Amino acid sequence: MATKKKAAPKKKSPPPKKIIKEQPPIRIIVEVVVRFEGLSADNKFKILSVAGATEVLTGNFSYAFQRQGITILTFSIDDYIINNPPDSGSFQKDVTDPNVPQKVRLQVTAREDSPGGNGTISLKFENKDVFATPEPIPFSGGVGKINKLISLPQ
Amino acid sequence: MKKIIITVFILTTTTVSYCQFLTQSAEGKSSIPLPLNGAGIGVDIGKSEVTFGLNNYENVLSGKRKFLLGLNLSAKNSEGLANLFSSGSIVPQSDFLGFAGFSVSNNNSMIRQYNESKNVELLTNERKTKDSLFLVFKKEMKEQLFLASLKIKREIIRNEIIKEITLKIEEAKSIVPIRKYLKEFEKNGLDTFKEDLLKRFELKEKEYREEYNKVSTEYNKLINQEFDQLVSKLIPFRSTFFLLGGINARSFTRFLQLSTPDFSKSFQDTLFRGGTFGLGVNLQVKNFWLGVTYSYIQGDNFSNLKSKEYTLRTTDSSGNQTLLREKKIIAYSGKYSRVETNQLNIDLIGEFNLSDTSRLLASLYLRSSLYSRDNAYLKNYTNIGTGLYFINKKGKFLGGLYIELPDINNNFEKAKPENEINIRSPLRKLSFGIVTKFNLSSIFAWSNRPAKPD
Repeated sequence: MATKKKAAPKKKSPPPKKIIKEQPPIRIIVEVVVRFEGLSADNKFKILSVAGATEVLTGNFSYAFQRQGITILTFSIDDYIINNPPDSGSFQKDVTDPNVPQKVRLQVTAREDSPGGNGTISLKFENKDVFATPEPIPFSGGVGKINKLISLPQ
Repeated sequence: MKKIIITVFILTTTTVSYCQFLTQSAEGKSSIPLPLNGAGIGVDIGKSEVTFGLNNYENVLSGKRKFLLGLNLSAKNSEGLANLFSSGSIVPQSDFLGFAGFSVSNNNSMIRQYNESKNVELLTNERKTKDSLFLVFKKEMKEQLFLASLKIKREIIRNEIIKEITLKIEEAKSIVPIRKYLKEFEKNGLDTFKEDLLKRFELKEKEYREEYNKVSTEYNKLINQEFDQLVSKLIPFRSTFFLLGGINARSFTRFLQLSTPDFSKSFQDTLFRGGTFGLGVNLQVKNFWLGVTYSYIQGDNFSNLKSKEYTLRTTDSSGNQTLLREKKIIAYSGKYSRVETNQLNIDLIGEFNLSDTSRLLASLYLRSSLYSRDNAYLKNYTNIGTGLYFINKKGKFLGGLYIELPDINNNFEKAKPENEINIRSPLRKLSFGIVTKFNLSSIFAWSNRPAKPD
């Protein structure tokens, strides 16, 4: 039976020398930016930036129908559609047109309920009138329609 | 009574003289005037008539309700306003009418047609395409920002600027706030960077705008085509079935016969109470309307009586004194009786565009009093006619003309003594005239203010 040889004790190595490298001093710059910009009344895209946070609000549309003997079926600005709209209302919608003035598509469909029925639409964008006078809804075959690109007031 | 009526006129005309009159009966005399907007008071000065109406027809038209209900109360002086002021003649007449019905339309179907149309699909696609263009623009702008930022030597500031502007670009929903932000961008020592970035922005903005306008032009053409096609497929339809019923009353003075020695007994105050009950149907297809009403009328032959003004003078004498008293009496003479009849009204109306500013309403109508229970007092008659009415785009009545063939069966002529009968050919009987006011009975929601002369 083989016997284990007793291992010779290890020679202790001397402790390593401490090497201190010279480094450039660390400068910590804390910059706090507080900014408040772009909040003018007529700015249709209000940008509120506080400490870097940004909120973009969309354009505000309001409308009113004057009607007699007709029913408004649909009303839309671009692809924002309101079915059976009430006689007046408002909503917010992005306007993405990069041109000046910006344009959106207005569509209205209506039906005549009684002979001689008629109606108009008034539209506002950011509280400014889009039409100088209320836009009449022309009727033919008992159906009223508006389909046009309209320039938004600046 | 006179004072009351005048007071009511003054009050109502100065306060709540808003009303729209709808259907009217065959003669255009006892009307069914209804305000469109729920409730209202109307005053017809010409007829010295005050009307109060209440109904839910507006909700029915808008599709919120299918059942229609309403009532109507009117009071007037049968002699009109002129006689009220000139002679104090008052023949008070009041009507109370109620109606109930059911209306169905294809409004919801037309709305669905719109929402499921290619037109709406194009509107959505156009928006999505433009959104994609904007996303591409944003991506390219971020690349341009990085390139422009190389002009900033200090890395820490460069990274900070990139982070700040990138946030603005990412959060913007249109190009407007980006443009505004960049133009107002101010940082010390970064003028060269700003100048370079603005140049790059303007270049990309131009490319983006060109692409945007190209997409707009393409979609504009397609949407216009699809919208026109969609509208041509919309066919408004409505059918309304209704029952109507009511009561009416009239108070007047009849001249019976000369009574001696007391002339005052020649006159008799008469109170008439009658009623009506009927049914009706209205149909609308596109720009054509058909209205039919059929009613049972418990009435009288008041319209055949002749109105005369009498002056009754009485004299009282005592010694050499004489006292004269004078009283004016408006009385109706002729054979009078209550008569039950049936009444049929039919209207067919078509509306046509004449120009961009005016429209033409063409109507055919029939007014018929049938099954008189007492032919000796009230004859049956049938009138037919046609009317052409011009209105402007805003619905204002401009004027019109009508042609009517009264009593097509000559029943009134045939009832006369043989030596007085004068039956003329239809052409010679035609009556026509210029219309400044008109009504088309039996059509619900007929909202024209004017009424055809009685």
